[in-house]
Amino acid sequence: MATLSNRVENEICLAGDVDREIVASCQKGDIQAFGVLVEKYQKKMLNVAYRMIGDYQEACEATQEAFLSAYRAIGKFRGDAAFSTWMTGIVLNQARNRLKQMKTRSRREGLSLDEPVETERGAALREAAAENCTAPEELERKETARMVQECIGALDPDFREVVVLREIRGYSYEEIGEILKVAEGTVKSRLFRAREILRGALKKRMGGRG
Amino acid sequence: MKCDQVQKMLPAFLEGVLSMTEKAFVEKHTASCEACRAAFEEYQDAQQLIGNLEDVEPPPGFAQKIMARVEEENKKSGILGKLFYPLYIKVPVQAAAAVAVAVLAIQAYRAVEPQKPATPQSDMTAVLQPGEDSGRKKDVRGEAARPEKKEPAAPAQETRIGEGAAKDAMISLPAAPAPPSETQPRKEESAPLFQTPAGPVLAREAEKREGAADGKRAKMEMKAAAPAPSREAASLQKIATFGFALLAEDPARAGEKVQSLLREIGGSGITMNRQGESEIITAELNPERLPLLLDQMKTFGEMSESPRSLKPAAPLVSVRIEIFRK
Repeated sequence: MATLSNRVENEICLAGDVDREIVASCQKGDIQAFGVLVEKYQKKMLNVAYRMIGDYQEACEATQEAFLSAYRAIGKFRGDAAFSTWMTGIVLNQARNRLKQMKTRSRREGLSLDEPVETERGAALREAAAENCTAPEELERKETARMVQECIGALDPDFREVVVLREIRGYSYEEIGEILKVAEGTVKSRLFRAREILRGALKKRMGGRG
Repeated sequence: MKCDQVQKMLPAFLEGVLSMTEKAFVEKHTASCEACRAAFEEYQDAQQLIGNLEDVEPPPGFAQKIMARVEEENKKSGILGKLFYPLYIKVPVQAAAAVAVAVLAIQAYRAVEPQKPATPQSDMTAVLQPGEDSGRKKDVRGEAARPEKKEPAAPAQETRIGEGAAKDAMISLPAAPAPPSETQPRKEESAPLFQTPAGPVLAREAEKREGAADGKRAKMEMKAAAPAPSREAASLQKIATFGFALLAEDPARAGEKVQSLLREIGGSGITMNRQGESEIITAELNPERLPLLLDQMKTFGEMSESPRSLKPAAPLVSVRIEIFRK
């Protein structure tokens, strides 16, 4: 177990070193080097955004904006943290902004019932249909995922962030503290509280499904 | 109470961050308490459900789309950067622009300025020469000052006086019509017309003395002081006009003497006009000869005060001598 953990840590260190070199090239104006980083981290960042926002399209746009912001600010990146940690912080900022915008938009258009609204469930069904996957197990799996995502989405943004970073992306308390710019103790207390809320919410949602 | 305590510790227990004692306490309690064991299982399930969430895939061409925007941004910032960044380029551009505007403003001011200052000198003369009699009509300077007048000025005189409109303006006489034989200036007109520093004071003095018998003398003093060349005139290097007044028993004879004196000391363009009982002589002269002229004129009659400065920068000055009957 200890050997596996050491190997993972070494891999992370190596990845960090490689990223640092790529970032250095970006800082010298090598735009292709930034392309390498985009290619490498697009999925990871999109998933952070998606779990935070809960809307695929909005998450895609937020991720694009985040990479653009990162490119603009790449000169200021000093390498104190790993590029992925720094980038995740930017994605979270973009996600928070998106959520605010969506909230304002939905408040403004709240009474408009003429517009077809795509729900998470609808999106999941459409996705499954698109994949030509009609197996009941697959539909069940997607439905469960939708409900879990809804429970995460129901959390306060402060709790949601730590859940996404810890449970989904697997960051350490220290890294989460760096990303959110809060103390490790705060990270832990938020996480434990978030788990408590999630346990209750999931029990409620999944209880009927056995 | 114990269950509440344990259930609050369960998330930390799952994370593996409890101390050995706390861990042992939770393990012991959940083994015997069904509710707490169920809660522990729920925590485990929740963690599993969240952990089982599958990653969503980026849409096709997502990275390319991002890079297209990045390249667009790069192009934009490249152009803007060249124009406005870094700041040390921007500041000299602004400074250069400010200097260019200042230079243009000065040039524009200089181009317009010469048309303005004709009035003070001519108006001052108007005080002394309010009437426009037959003799005045022949005054070439008066003609030159009014280019819009249809009567042509004598070409020879014009050439001598100067080439530019500015020069003409400086030596011009007024165009304002007035009673032909009037030699006394009107109070209202005289005082504000003096532009030289000594002018207003002398004008006021003249007004005070107006009622007294020696009105002519007051006018002579004004005449003598007024032509001191203004700073504007000096800066533009126009021909300065010096006016002198002489009180003589016989103005006609004194005029002849002055004319011959002017000829002797190299005066050119000498003209003599009669205005009532007084004689007006104009000429152009080397400024170095002015002291000599004044010294000699003192022998012909009583001179008014001399101008303070007889050293203009110009190589030629215009002299106007008025001879009044004593």
